[in-house]
Amino acid sequence: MAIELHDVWYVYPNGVEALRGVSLRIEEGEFVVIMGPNGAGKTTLVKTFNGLIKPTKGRVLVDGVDTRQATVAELARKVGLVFQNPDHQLFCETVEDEIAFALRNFGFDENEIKRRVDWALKAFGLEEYRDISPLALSGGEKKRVALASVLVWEPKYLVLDEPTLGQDYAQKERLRSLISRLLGERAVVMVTHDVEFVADMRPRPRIVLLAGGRVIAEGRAEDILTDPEQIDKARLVRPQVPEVLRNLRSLGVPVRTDVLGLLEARDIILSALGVGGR
Amino acid sequence: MSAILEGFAFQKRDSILHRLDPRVKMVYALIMMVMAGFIFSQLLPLLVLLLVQVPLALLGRVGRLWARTLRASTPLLLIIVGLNLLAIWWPTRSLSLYDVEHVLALAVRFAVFVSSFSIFTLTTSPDDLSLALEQMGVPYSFCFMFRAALRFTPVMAREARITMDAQRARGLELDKGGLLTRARRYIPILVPLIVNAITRAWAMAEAMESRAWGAGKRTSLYVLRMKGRDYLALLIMLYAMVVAIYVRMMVSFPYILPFIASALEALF
Repeated sequence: MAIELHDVWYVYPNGVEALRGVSLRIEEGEFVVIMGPNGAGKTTLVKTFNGLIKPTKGRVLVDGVDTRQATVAELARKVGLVFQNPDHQLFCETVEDEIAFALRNFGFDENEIKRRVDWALKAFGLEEYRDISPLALSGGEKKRVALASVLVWEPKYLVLDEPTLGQDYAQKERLRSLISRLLGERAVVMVTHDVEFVADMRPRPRIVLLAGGRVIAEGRAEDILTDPEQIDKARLVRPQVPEVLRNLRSLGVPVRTDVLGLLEARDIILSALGVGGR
Repeated sequence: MSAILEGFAFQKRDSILHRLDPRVKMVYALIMMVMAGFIFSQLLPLLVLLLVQVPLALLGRVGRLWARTLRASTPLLLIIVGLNLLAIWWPTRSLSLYDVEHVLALAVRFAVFVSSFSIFTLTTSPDDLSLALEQMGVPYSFCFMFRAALRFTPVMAREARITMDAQRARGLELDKGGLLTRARRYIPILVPLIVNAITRAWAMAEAMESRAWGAGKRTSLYVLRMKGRDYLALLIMLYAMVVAIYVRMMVSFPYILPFIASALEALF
C-alpha cells in the first residue's frame, strides 16, 4: 500500500510543462520532504496525490486505485492535503464548524464528529477559539485551524504544502513536534524550501529534490542536504551546520561535513579539537 | 466561467489594433453595440455583424482568445435561446420557424455584444483604458476603480480555482449531484473568495494612502493624442454606421430559416 507515481507528466492548459516524468513512491508511515525552487512543480506534484490534478501522461495510484478512476472527495479520505494559504479555505462561522466540515462531507455521524472535533481542538490548542469565527484569528492560528480541519479525519497520507510559511520560530517548533508525533501512524509528505526546518527534523525524512518538473535527486536528508552541489542545483539555501563544518575543515580542523544536527556538530567539533567530554 | 474572464483580459501584443487610441476602440465597441442592439434585430444582419469581427480579431492577433470567449459564452447563449423559446411556446403550445429565427437573433445579438467588447478589452491595456477615461473627464477615483476591477479579475479567477481545490481536498463533492445541491456547495468557495477580495481591497487602500493617494491634482506622464490612423479608423466606423442606418431603412431582410426549410423541402 502506497502512493505511486509512474512517469507522471502534467501540462497546464497554458502550455507550461509543470511535471516532466516524475516517478515516486510514498510508503505507508513514511516521512518525505519535497524541496525545490519556486516553479519547480512542487505544488502541482502534491495535487496529483489526491486527484486534484490528473496526469496528462503517466499514472498515479493511491493504494492501488488509479486517481483517474475516483473523485477527489473519495481520494481525499486517504490523502489529506493542507493548502499553503488558510485564507483560501476558511469559511465557516465557527472554528468548530470549520474543523467538522470535512467530517460532514465524509458522512461521519454526529457523535463521532463531536469526539473528533474535541480531540482536534485540544491537539492544536484551539479550545478557547471553538465558538469564534476562524476569519478573526491570527495568521498562525488560521494555519492551525486549516491543519486541524484535515488531520481530524485521520488521513493515511498527510500532505502539507509549505506549512512553515509565515510562521514564527515558536510555531515552527510546535509544528515540528506535531509532525514527529504523527509519524508512524501515518505518512507525512511535506513541501517546503525551509532548509533549516528540515535539517532539524527528527526522525530524518527522505528528501526528494525537484527542479524543472523533474526529480533531480532523492535520498536521506543527511546525504542530500549536506551535499552543496545538490543544494545549489535545487537553488536552495545551504543549511548552516554543514556549511560551518566545511568552513572549519578548510581551516584545517579535521571534521566530517555530512552532519545536520547542531548538537551532533558540537560533539564532532569538540572531539576534533581534542577537548572531548560532553 | 473563468474562460470568459480570461477572454476579457488584456493581451500584450503588437498589432494595429493595439496601437490605436483606446478611445477609438471604445467607440468601436459602442458602435457595435448600438448596431446590434438598436439598429438591427434580424438574424441575417446580426450574423454579418458577428462575422465581420473575425478578420478584426485576427488583425489584433487575439483570434484564438476571442474565439475562446465566444465558446465560453455558449452556456449563456443556450440559456437565452432556451428561456425565450419556452416563453414563446408556453402560451400557445406552438412554435413557428419565424419564432425560432427571432430567438436565434437574440442569442447572436448577445454574441455580438460579448465579442466586440472582448476585442476592445483584449487589445487595450487597463492603463490605456483608464488614461482614456481620465482624459475624457471621468474623475480619477472612478478610473482607478475600473482599472483595479479589470486588473483583479484574473487574480480572482485564479483564487477561485485554488479555493475550489482546497475545499475538494476536504471532501467537498463538486463533481457529482444535481444542479441545486451543486449550487449550495458553492458557499464554501464564495465565502473565502469574497472575504479575501475585501481584505485585499482594504490592504490596497491602506498601501495607496500611505503613498499619498488623493493628495492633490494628478498629472500624467502619458498624454493620449489622436494620430492619423485613429482619425482614419473613426472615419471608417462612422461610414459603417451611416451605411448600416441606410441599409436598415432601405433594405428589408429576408428570414433565413423558413428559406432554408423550403429549400430542403424542395430537395427531398
